[in-house]
Amino acid sequence: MNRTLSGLLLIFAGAALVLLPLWANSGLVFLAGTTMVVGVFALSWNLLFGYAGLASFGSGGLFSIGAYTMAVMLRGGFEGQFLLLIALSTLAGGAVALAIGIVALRRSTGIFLAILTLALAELLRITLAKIHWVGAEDGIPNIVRPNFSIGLATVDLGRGNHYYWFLCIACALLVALSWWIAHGRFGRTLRTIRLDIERAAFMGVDTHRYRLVAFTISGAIAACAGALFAPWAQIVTPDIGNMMRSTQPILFTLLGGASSFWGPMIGAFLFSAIEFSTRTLVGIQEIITGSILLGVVLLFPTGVAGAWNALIARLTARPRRDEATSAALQPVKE
Amino acid sequence: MAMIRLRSVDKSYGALKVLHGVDAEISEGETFAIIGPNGAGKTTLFKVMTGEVGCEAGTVEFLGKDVTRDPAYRRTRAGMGRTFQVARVFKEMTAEENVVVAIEARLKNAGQSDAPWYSVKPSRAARDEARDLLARLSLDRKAQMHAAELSHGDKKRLELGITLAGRPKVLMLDEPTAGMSPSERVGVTELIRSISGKGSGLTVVMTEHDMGVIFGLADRIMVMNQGRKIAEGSIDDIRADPVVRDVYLGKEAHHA
Repeated sequence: MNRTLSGLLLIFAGAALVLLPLWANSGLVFLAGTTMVVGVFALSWNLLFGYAGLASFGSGGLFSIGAYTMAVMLRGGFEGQFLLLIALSTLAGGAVALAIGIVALRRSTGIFLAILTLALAELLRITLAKIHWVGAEDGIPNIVRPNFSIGLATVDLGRGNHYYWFLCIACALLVALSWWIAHGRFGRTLRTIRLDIERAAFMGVDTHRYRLVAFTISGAIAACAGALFAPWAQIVTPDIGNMMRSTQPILFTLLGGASSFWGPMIGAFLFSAIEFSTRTLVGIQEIITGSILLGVVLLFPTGVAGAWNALIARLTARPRRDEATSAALQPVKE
Repeated sequence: MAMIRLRSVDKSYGALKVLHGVDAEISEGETFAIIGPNGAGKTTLFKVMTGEVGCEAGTVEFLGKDVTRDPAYRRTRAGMGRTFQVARVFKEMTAEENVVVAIEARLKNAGQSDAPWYSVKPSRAARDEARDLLARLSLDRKAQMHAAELSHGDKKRLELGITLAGRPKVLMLDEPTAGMSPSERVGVTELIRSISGKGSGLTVVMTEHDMGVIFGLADRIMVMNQGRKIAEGSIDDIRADPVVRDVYLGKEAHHA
């Protein structure tokens, strides 16, 4: 029942997004596309937090690496190889995450990892702002939406809403990939590591290696989201990976709920909806957004997704103890 | 054959030396108990064997191989299974999932994963094995309960299930009856006996406070005091040993 209902909701939400350009104005379409991308970005963060139990405060840096890699290569005139460029940007993010992980994860988890990743992301932002080859403070403007061919078909993402629909497909694939990673044996093993790392080690699990792989995959997906974002925004600046960016997935996860795979994505859309509906209230927009966030955290510690699951459970199931509302920012349970 | 062999193991925590040149040899199939008063170094010795803590001097051999520098997960893969004093289970998972993840880990490490790569569900064989194991531990009726909802004794049983799912050659039990009621103690003692009985080939190493449990299970006992081995032998040897009486059993007698 719960599954069917959630599945229907998912199909409905997907269809609404795909059909959006048919009736909405370009501003709303741009917001929807951006939200999809940052939603995927937030999912990649929660793969690390909700499953592997690692909190990174520098995920914006990896988003930035993907965006810049894409921007530089498109500027270099490789738009005909767009799919390859996405793959390369993803690999770049994965490689950087792997390098950071090898150094950082051996000893530092918890708050140390949070601070270290935050510092590295800031370092990257400041460095990018000093390199003239990538436009220093001004970044890289006028990024083209590529025109490329797959086999016999030609895809011109520059026309109309083509890039938006391309984003729909790409994000759907990334969400499916994340879902598969989170729900398979690898995801289950990650959960055992978050729940009790020593117990996991005494099942013969090389916990360090698993965390490193999760860190790498999460970084690769974050970079892929960044790579998709560059032609969408058509400009990248060093601020694309600033602290606000790194905070986004954390806020979305808080709002949507870390206890559910879909929580960060739900949080991303709620956040966008709140910002959109308060956009004319200059000066008090932040206050409203902040209050809503505070309200959700206090009233629904497991986020909107957690509250939803609890509600469905109460409506459908026989009376049963309600464990879904027991812990703050409580991690994955499925 | 010696399953585990310790040679003059030294271990310090900062300035405090907790193990002084401890030797031990545990043979295949026996149940070996480490006893001693609080602070004697039992738990540290236990952790040196499992790989949770290193040692400054001496060596640890497992199945004839030097594993002194191997981390816990490698020793687990080689056939060492461990339970904790306070049962550690994956609380958010159901009892069945707890055992399934352990079975999956074993299959993966042995290169025997039988679920197709694209599948998100555990394989049928893994789930069947988990159910069989839970039935052996009398947990089959609670298979779908979250581990957090289980009683203390059931958590201990479940943890044993996670450990047995790894098909260990040596079962390392750290105070298996700690915090249990007398009736639960009897149940767990029976359970351990049924698992490690003659013919099972399973070697058991345990630390334990409860003398009833020790005398009911152990083939051989090692007594520690202040980081040193003070005696080793059969139950009768230990009972008769005057040093042991003084240091350990004597004290208990005074309390009683």
